Amino acid sequence: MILHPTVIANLLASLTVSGMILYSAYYGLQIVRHWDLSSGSELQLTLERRTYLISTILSYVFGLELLSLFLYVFTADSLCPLFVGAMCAAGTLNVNGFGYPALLLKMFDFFLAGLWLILNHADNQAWDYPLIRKKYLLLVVIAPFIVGEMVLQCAYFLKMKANVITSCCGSLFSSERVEGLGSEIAALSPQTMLWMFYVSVAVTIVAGIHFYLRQRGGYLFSALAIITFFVSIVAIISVISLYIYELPTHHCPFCVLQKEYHYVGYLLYLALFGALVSGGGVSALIPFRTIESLRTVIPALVRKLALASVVLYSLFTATVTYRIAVSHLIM
Amino acid sequence: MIELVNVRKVFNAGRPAEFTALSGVNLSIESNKVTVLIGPSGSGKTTLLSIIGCMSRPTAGRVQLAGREITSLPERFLTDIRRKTFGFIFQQHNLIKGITALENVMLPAYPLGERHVPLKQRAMKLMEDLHLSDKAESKVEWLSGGEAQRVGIVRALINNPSTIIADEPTAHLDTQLSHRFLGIVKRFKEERKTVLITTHDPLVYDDPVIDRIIRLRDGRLEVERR
Repeated sequence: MILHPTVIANLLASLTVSGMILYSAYYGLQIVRHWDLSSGSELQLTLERRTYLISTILSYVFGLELLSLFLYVFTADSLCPLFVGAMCAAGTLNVNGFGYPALLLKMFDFFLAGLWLILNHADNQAWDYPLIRKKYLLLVVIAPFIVGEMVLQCAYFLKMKANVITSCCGSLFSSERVEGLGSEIAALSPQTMLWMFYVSVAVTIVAGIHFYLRQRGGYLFSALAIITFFVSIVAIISVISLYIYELPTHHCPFCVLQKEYHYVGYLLYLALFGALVSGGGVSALIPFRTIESLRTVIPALVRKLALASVVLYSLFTATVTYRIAVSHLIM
Repeated sequence: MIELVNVRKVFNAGRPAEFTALSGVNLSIESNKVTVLIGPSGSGKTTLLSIIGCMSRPTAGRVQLAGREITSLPERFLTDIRRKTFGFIFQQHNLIKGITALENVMLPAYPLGERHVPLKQRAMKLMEDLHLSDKAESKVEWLSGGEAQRVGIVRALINNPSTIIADEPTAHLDTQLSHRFLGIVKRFKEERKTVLITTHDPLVYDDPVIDRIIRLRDGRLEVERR
């Protein structure tokens, strides 16, 4: 199983990211402890030079981390013919106890990696490294999660057994089953969830445009962007998937990634996760807008992030609305 | 004012070939004056010049330019300072072969995004000032040593820097051309530019245009003359 090309790619990506993050976190800790811009000591100048290397490495490594979430899901999806009972990634991820925890941790790490990249970008715009301690402190916080993700991912791929009979997505995300988070979400009222989804997206987009134009309500917009992400995930399972599959009982959030549905899931999830990170990034940066060297940088950057989040949520909503409009399912 | 505080530069640190080019240099260089760095080969003149000109970073110590600490600046900010504050005149001229003298002169201004027509007019005016108008369209490989050096000087002036840094500018010039170079330095001084020169040449450091002489040996400052 581990000789499957996508599994090798996942393991390599995971080991590379973890190794680089640990290396960077080690120097990050030194920066957090010893950074003193007023000093001209050899250690300080070494740290200043080192930070260019570390932040360049991390930009690529976190970029890989962002991509690896989609690679992981793609791998789970492409391995499903190897397991009895699996019809898509939902079944493959269920072949042992590590698949879903690894996925959830990867999603969490995606958000953290995105926030780090945003902080790093803002810090690089200023001449006096105003966020250097914060971003390396965040790196030290992120490192254990990334290593945990690598451990879970390795355990998941290495402990795959071909003779395991797994559950299919129809069983894991069934509105008729009474146990399991997936089934509980699937059992929510589709009409109510559809309303909640559209209201949530509409309020977020309006808050985002208001923030973009007036530079007010940044924290509110950020909170709404995060809430809308979760509402959208629940809506995909509860109602959006039904329209895409044109089946009133099929709630799987993974089948949308398959060729039969024109890989629309990748577009939906890319937009959704992008909107989450850019929306969340607004509130991560706002506290630093009073720093002298960031006084002009942060307002422009948070506006761009808010705009990106609004555009991505609009793209997500437009895609969903289109699929609902052309669907033959009548609820 | 350029101020160096306890500047140290070590090459190949921690390796068998470790070499300390500068150790504990404390120095203030006044604005609008002509300062000369002298000393034997390997005394650290060029290293000091490259640190002042933001072309390399010290191993320890700080450099302040007009009160602003510049050694800690991220690279892209340093590029901006290099481009706008310093004009460099090199010993080997470092002109780009295959293009004309005028194009060589205009090259450092391209990243600033100035419109081509006013830039070309300014470049021609500067070339005219140094009697190079008739050489503007000549390829640089066709120029004599003195002409090539003057093209190098005009190139250093194209972004109107406040500080001119010249590394052994007369090393390849005969006496007459060296005197002509010192005449140009005098003009810089009249234009209230700060000039920093490294040299071995007594013709340069004994010239009355020089305000201050700083002697380096083994990476340390020795006696100063004014």
